[in-house]
Amino acid sequence: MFFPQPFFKILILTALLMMSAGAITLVGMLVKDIQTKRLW
Amino acid sequence: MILLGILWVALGVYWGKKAKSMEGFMLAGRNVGLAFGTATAMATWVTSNTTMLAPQFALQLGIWGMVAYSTAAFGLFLFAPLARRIKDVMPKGYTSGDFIRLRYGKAAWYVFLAISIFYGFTWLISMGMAGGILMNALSGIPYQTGMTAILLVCVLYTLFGGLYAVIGTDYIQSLIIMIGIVIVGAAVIYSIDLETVYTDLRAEKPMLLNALMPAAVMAIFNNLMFGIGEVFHSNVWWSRAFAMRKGVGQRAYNLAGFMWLPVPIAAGFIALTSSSMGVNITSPDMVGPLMAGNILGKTGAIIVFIVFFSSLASSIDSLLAATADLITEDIYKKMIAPNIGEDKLRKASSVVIVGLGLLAWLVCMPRIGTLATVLFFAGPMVASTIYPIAMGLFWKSANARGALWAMLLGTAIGLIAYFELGWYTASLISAAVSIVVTTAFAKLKPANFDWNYLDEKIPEKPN
Repeated sequence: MFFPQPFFKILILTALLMMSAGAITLVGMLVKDIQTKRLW
Repeated sequence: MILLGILWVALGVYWGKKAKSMEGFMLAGRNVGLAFGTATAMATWVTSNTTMLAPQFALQLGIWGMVAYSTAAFGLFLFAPLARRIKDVMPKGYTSGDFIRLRYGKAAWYVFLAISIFYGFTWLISMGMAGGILMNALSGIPYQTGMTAILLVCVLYTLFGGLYAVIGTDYIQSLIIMIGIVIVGAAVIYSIDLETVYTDLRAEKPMLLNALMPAAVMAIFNNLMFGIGEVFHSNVWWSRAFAMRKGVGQRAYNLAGFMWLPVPIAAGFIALTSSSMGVNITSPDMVGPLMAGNILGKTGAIIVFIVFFSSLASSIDSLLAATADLITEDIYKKMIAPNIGEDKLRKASSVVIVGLGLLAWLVCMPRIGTLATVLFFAGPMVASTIYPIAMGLFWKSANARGALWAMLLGTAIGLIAYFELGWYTASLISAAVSIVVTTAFAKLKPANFDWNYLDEKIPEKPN
């Protein structure tokens, strides 16, 4: 039994999308922490 | 490499100015916020083993290999509630060794320290080796030179800045890693159609698309347990739990888990394109840098170089700091010099950081085995600590003998499985032995532990 082709494609694209969202979230959190003076 | 090295050391010196006390140096003032907390957990967990072993996993075990590697994110997810609990019950704690000593007494503490320091050192070696392999694969720099450079840079900035420098640089490194992997992944998809990759794999290496590949399915559970064991016991993660501001730890570890989850897939799938791209893989652990350099040329090689350098540095620095804390606090201060002053302890910590770096350098000089062989040897050891830690934090009934035997039997039987059955079974079997032993002792001879004894201000209670 093989993984279907769409699964292969969706898996990889989702991973790249999640990583992009992660980078944006991280920048957003930094801005918020600086604004609220809660960085360290 | 020189520019990145100078940048990290300069930032280490800059942030190091904040580390005025030992608590600042070791735990960044115990007030780290959500952004830095999340980034440091994420970046530290993206090691050379993620960026180099994930493609190797994909090449050997196919789709399941990448997914199996992703399950290590559950180490972060499951540590999230523990991070909260740790901060609640040990507001003044320093190391994971402190917890084992106060919760289970000295015998379990010695075994735990042996496992933890062995694991920390193994991880350090695997990353030093990865540094040398990476430099060699990407730029032709001799293995020994590359490995020396990465270890030297990390030792220097950890030495100057302590956990402030480690966490600050981890933030920048986590962004570099995420953006870099996305750029490389997007470029790969742009240069070759995923449908073609799938068709070629189906024709040439159908096993890699097999949904029922036994070794790969086993690897999922093994990796899950190894990942959980690595995170639960290691002072790398405990020191971050102590360092984060109250209320931050649980959210930071959960967010870091979500950010880490896709990394092995995004970094690993590149290896699966090797057949379609006509790239000849000479050594499995070089497949990642080799493919990226091949697809993206010189610019791509530079991006990959920076990503790999960041992923290595973000873990080596954390490991140097956390293992040095364990040796300085648990061995030097608690066993050898209990009345030592803060200044002398800081100096001792510096000596330990340099010593660890030097020892790792010596062991890394001859290139031994593949990365997987070196790393997975420690798997059954760390998996045996999962339940003594998890149950010790939440169950009053978990007792010292149970913890001790869980670690000893889990490690022994796990290592037998490693040699007799295969690396992909060792952590799983060790964790299974650990849960049975810890639970059995807790049920048969339940302790009634007073949580207040975990706060170091109260005198130690014989367990």
